[in-house]
Amino acid sequence: MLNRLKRKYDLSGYLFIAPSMIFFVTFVLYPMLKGMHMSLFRFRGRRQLFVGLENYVKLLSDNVFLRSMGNTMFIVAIAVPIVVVLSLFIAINIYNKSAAVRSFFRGVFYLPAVSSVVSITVVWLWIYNPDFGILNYVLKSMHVVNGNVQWLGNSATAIYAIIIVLITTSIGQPIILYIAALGNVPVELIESAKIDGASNWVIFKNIIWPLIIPTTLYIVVTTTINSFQIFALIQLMTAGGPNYATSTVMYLVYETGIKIQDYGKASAMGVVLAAIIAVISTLQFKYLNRDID
Amino acid sequence: MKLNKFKKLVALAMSASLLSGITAQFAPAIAHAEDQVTIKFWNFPNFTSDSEFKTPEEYDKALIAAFEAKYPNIKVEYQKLDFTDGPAKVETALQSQTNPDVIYDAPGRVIDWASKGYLAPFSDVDTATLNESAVKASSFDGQLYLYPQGIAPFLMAVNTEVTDKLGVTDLLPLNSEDRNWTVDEFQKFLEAVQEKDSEMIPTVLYSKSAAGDQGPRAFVSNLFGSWITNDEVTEYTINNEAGVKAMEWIQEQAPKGIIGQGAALEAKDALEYFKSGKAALTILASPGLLAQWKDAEGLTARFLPFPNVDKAPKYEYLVAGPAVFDNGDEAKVKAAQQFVDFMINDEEWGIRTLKATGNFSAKKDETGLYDDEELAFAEKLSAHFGAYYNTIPGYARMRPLWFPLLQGVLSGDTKDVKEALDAFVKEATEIYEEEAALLKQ
Repeated sequence: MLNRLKRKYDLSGYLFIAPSMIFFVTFVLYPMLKGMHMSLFRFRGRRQLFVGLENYVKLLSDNVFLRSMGNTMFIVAIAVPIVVVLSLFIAINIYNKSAAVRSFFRGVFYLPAVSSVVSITVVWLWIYNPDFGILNYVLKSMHVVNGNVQWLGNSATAIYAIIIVLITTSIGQPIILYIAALGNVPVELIESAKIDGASNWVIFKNIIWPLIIPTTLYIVVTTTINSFQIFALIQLMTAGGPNYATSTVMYLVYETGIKIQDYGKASAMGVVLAAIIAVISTLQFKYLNRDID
Repeated sequence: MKLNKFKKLVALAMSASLLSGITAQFAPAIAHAEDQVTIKFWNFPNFTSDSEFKTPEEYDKALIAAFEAKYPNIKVEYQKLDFTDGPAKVETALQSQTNPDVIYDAPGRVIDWASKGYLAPFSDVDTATLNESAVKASSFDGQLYLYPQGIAPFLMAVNTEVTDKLGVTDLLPLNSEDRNWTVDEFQKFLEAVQEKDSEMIPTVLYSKSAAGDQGPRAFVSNLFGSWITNDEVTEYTINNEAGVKAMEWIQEQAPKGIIGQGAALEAKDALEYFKSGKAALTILASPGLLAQWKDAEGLTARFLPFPNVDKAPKYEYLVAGPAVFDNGDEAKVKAAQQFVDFMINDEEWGIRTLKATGNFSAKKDETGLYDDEELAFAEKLSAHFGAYYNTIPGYARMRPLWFPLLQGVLSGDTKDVKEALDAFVKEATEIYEEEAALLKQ
């Protein structure tokens, strides 16, 4: 009788997790394993030649891949801290406002997060247009620049232009999460601290920050992963140019795999990127979780 | 008891899926027995110039309906493609073996598929009746894999409404029969446009991506008479003296703004600048594009050859036509080739389909189909077609090397042009040799 009951509950447990497991296996685990398998082959039409680790070895001396990896790291290093700090700053400033103002700003900052990347890109392409873009127009009116600056056509400015767009599209969700997290900070603690004469900075550092670290951990990890996987913005805005200045690993995977049909090399790039993301995410969990403890 | 029911259900489901698999495997054989064949036709928006139909898809469907009426035993399933993600869609379909039986495309991709063994050749076509350049471009290993229906040169165009307004039309070579002009004459024209209206962009040498990248390649290679490859299409030659000189000319002109700020612009941007009257001249034009510009307000486009130091430019050219995939079913291959034959040689739909592309006929005896001065000029240029290098082994891998090269020169990143061209040729040659060796395996 007990055994039958146990079996019954065991089965229902599996049924609950079955949909997620099916999706996980179909769309995450299988493609991941397949990608690792494909990275060991060279493809020629439907023919496959086993080449072992050759694709990985080639990546070590591939200047375009190394430059794309460097660009990706640079984007992550710049964009992630800015997204975290800026979204927290905005959230703190919005949180104390009236409900109507809070809703308005939440909508404003969340809008880019729910808009299609293509629409956002079209708008930014017009802003950055060297000949008719509003950015050059404004800067020229203010005598900041003289001629028509090629924001996306100049290797010195293109990557920053991309990072700005990435930040504007990534900041919406963290703001919402931080506002929610701030709502969970006990008001009594803050008021007691104020009565004791604590400054705003001391209150933030000793009361608010420790309580919002779990949210920060989530934001840091997801923003890092998203920044590592930046693709659509690059494809639509610069196609990796000029002269590979904005080429990222994900964009190169697309170009190598889909456009050139070198599936083996593209898979190897994907595996390397996944490994780097895994290592960095693990480190983030380890160190930020330590602060939570 | 309940478990037994569950087992029965599982057994039933497995049997059903097994049976459906068996039925699916036998399905083609059953269809074959009844002499009914279904083929899949995938098409890009190629048929854009038939005024009876609002969209290319409508034309495709009418063509299919006419074919099915004539050949009731063949059913054609249609899927439209677009130029942005269509090529990737076909490649993915090839990998998953869900590819079409017929596609209307160009030799660049078609010959690559042929070299990988995906296609069935057109063995019965009399190639002597077709344009030699088109046949050469459409063949692999001595066999025809793309049935060339249309050909057209890629060239440049000027908006004479703009140049008339600026008073610089007399600087254009429009009155001479071949309209050829030197690099100096071309430069003088661009500078005159800039001088008359500093807001006007004389032309845009774009280099953002592979889209329309043949335009900049043809432009660069014509300036001082180099070419991307040799005539035999066995060696990259753009790093020779003439090629270096051309890139140095571009490096010198880019900061002046007379060739636009194209490092972050692509073909569609340059065409939009031209179409909207913001640029006087486009380095990308063709009969197909001319047809699209016919109704644009403020735009009167006239063709121009690429500037060339010796007034002897060579043209890259478009070849378009259908190809048939060999999906392992002889009946389907036969039906697909019948559809192709209808598309090209049917008394009514053959010419109509060709004219719907806006191209010239690849058949030697089919000339003068269009009553238009510009098209008559363009049609004469087939005698000056350069080597069709889009079928060189590794072409797809070479293309992504080209636009960073040009971006480097345009943006000022590249200081030593010769070094950059040598690096391009070295890498492109390595790809060519690797791919050529694979073909021999």
